[in-house]
Amino acid sequence: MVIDKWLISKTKKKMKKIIYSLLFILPLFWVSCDKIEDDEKLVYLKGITTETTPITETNSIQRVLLEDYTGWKCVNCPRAAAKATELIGTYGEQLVVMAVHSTAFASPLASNNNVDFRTEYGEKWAVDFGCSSLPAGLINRTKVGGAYTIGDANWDTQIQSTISTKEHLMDINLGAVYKESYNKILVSTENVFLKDVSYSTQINVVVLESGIVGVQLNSNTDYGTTPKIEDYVFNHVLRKNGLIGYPLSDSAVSKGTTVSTNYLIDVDTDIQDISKCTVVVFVTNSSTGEVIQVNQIHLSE
Amino acid sequence: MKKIILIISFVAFSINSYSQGLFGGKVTGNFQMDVQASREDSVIGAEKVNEKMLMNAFTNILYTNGDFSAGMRFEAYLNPILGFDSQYKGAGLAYRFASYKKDFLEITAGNYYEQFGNGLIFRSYEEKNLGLDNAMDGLKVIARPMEGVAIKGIIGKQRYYWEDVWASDDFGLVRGIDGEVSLNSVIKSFSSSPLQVTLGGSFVSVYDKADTRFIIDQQTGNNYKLTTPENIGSGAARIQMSYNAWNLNAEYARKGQDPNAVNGYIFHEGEAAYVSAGYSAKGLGINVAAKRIDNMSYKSRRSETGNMLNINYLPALTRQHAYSLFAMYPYATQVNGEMGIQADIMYKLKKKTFLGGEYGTDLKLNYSRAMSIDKQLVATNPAGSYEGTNGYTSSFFKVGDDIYFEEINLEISKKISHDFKLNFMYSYQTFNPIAIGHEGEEFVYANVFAADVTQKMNKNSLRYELQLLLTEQNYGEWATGNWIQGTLEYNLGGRWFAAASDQWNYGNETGEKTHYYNFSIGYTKGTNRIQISYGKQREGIICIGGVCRMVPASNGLFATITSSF
Amino acid sequence: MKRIIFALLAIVLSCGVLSAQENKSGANLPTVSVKTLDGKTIKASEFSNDGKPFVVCFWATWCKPCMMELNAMAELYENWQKETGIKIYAVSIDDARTCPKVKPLVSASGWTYDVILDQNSELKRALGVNNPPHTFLVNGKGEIVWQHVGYAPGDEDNLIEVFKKVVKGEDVK
Repeated sequence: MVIDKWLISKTKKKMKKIIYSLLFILPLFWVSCDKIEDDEKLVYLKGITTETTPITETNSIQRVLLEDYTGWKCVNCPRAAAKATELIGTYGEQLVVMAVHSTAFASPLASNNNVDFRTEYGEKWAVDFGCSSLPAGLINRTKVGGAYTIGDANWDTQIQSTISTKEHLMDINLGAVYKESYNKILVSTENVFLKDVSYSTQINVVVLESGIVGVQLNSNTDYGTTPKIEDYVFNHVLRKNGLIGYPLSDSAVSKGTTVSTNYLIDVDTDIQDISKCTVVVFVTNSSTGEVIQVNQIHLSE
Repeated sequence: MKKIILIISFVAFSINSYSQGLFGGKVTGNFQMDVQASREDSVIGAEKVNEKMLMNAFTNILYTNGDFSAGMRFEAYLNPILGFDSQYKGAGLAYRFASYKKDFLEITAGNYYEQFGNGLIFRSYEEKNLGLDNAMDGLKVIARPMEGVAIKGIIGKQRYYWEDVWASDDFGLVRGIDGEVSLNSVIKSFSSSPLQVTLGGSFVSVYDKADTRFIIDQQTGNNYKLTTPENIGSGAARIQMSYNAWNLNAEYARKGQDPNAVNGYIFHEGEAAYVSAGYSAKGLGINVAAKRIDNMSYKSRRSETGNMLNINYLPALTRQHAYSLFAMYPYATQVNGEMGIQADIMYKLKKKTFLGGEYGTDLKLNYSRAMSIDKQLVATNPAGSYEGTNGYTSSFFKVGDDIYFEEINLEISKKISHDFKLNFMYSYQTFNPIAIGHEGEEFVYANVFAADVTQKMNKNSLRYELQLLLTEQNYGEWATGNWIQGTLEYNLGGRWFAAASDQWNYGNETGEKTHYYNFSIGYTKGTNRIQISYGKQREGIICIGGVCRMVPASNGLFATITSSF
Repeated sequence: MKRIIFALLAIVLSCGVLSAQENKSGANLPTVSVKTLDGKTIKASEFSNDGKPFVVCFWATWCKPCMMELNAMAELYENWQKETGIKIYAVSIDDARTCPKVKPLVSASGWTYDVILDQNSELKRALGVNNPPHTFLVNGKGEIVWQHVGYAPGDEDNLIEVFKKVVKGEDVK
């Protein structure tokens, strides 16, 4: 009896020892192994590249983005386009104009050779910002009087006001080149934050083509023949394959930070003349969508 | 500042307790200093040393009091001697720990070294002559709950020269566990069996923050981001058996996806297998070993190349040579893939027989061969390289086409008379320069001989050594034709010694037929030893255990002082 | 600054080393765990010779002087044991690369020492050994009373002389 008790207590002691030592070691059992599946080993980064091109566009001024929502069937749009051209003369470098062909006004017709300047993102913006009746303009995507859209009659005063009140928070320095071997446009950006920015930002890189000749419906002889202009020259036309809403900074950035990024944009097959293209880059506030800064660079050969 | 106070107070405390045994504790330690004064020599390729004098030194102080022990090591590389990485420049506290044993637990906090099994997935060790030190800094726990059972747990970061590894996220966190059971101790009925079996298993994992790495498709400009796994795990299982005169030691290890700079960022999993079997009887010893290594470079920082931050240890399966001409073409383990075998037969011809002679003769025969593994490449990635792909597939039993190294070696040791002892060695070596990083170069085939006679004269002794390396390869760089080396060493009363040697590249057809002469004298008393050498040192490679370091040529003075206390 | 500290440390230590020769009370063998050739784990502090003094010799298969030392002693070991009851622990610091050769080598050479395996040099570090060969003489109470580094032919005769003195209880320095 006594011997049995002694054996039992000895075994118990041994078990205790083993359990105690295992308890000590158990926390170390978070040893793990990551297993990456085949399709995740190399992740294709659409649009982003590590290649760079020299930065040539570095003028440090606060610019304004004027988006002209238009369409070839929009009879009053020639007036807005002419206004935009006039404003470029007034404001020069401070103004960047982007013609967003969108809505039913820009849909193609067989009689017009199915010419289609619409873009996926242009359509979405038209809906998001309430551009249903054209021409409609957006200035830095900022609301004025409760709405984003501004009539072309008020563009001048609005741009004036924006220029005088808008804080110069950052600069977008650019370099862009057409890479013939890839048939892509390489854009290098250098985003310099001149002040502390407390929100996250996104960057948008698009290609505009100017000098495209086509048909535009018109109702005012001041701007051309009616009811349509056969050889109308479309400028600043927003082209496809732009990079929209790419993350630039994901949290607050302090003054003096520079974020450098590089992008590759597939050349839109519809582009007629690459030498008449410019690259427009605009940085927005991730939550409000407001444009903080914009810049453009003509494509070098 | 804090460190300085800590060091000085510890040292003062130690010195004090050293002579008086403070609190019953004892202080021990050791000390070594290497001083090199080398000058520029364009003939042998010795570079100019601007500091004129280079020095490596270290000292270990260990305090033990019953179950408690603590220690530290102070190292100084002011500046590091030739061949040591310049990142070692500086001086400071390189190692400190405190350890306590209680019942069946042993806990060490601070720096420590440890090995799991044969080290295939974890070995933290130091090799001062290589400048290799991957000491862990963290916590180690060893539990021995009962006789024959040992469980080890480790966690920490590895040493990287003088960097504060805890200050940055750069260095991976290593954690691991190892268990070993001696079946004979655990299973009572088995305990007296002539068959002894020990089983062991280990898991190791490294957490290394993801790298941002891109590849570019040159056709389309498309960029791809490489997803690097942050937890790289490995496991190993081993068995050790002995039955009377026979013994077997086998270990198999597997490493998870580990794209790193050494393997070219491929996702192929790593694998290593090691088997060694032997027969040991009086007068006869046989050992045969085979191994296979496939993508087993395991570091705690994936961008690291070179000798630092290795988590594991892959031993070379070739003979370790002590004679310098035999070590002229050393082999280093090819961590990205190799298969090898080695066989040793050691036989003692009995004394008073015809062949054995008056005192008996020792014969040692060794054969080793290292080959590449069979690699079947997979499809390349969009950039045309293998980064981000699985790299290759390799069949376990298939051997590759390339020989990396082969050697057949015979050693005869015979005591000729009461005063004369002869050691004779012959070796035929086949060396593929890929082992030193030069792929596609012509192989070197060498016949190497050595005759080493020790003559005892009362309390003194004289040693004559002659070595000869014959090779037809003479294309410069590491293949410079024939060499001959002669050494004369005189030992006086076991205290003083003086030696002179010359290594002569008499068969060189592409460059100078240089004489690498060397004179040294030294003195040993108790545990203190001082040695001063003067002469030319050939550029070469020093390899210890399969890990190698380049030793640049030097011309001048070299002194070493060692002491233990 | 660092050079000054190091110089200071070197001075302090050399004083320690010098005073070592005079008034060192023997340290004991550490409690480091090592393995025997049979695969059993043993603590260095458990090395013993039934209360008599014993010798601990560090060696490696690749260390020529070590091999010379152990071979020279092997021939005399049997006689020594009869005369003085000496016991020699031969601690090999061969790592995973050369460790498999230890057992066949010991058998082929016909050594009858107690061979110990210190694969990761734990005991070597704990005893402050720089490079083998390094020999320790431990007295009956388990204290290290004598140490020697290096080997020259004839050192084995010196070793047995010192050993005999320790057996008699004499002081050896």
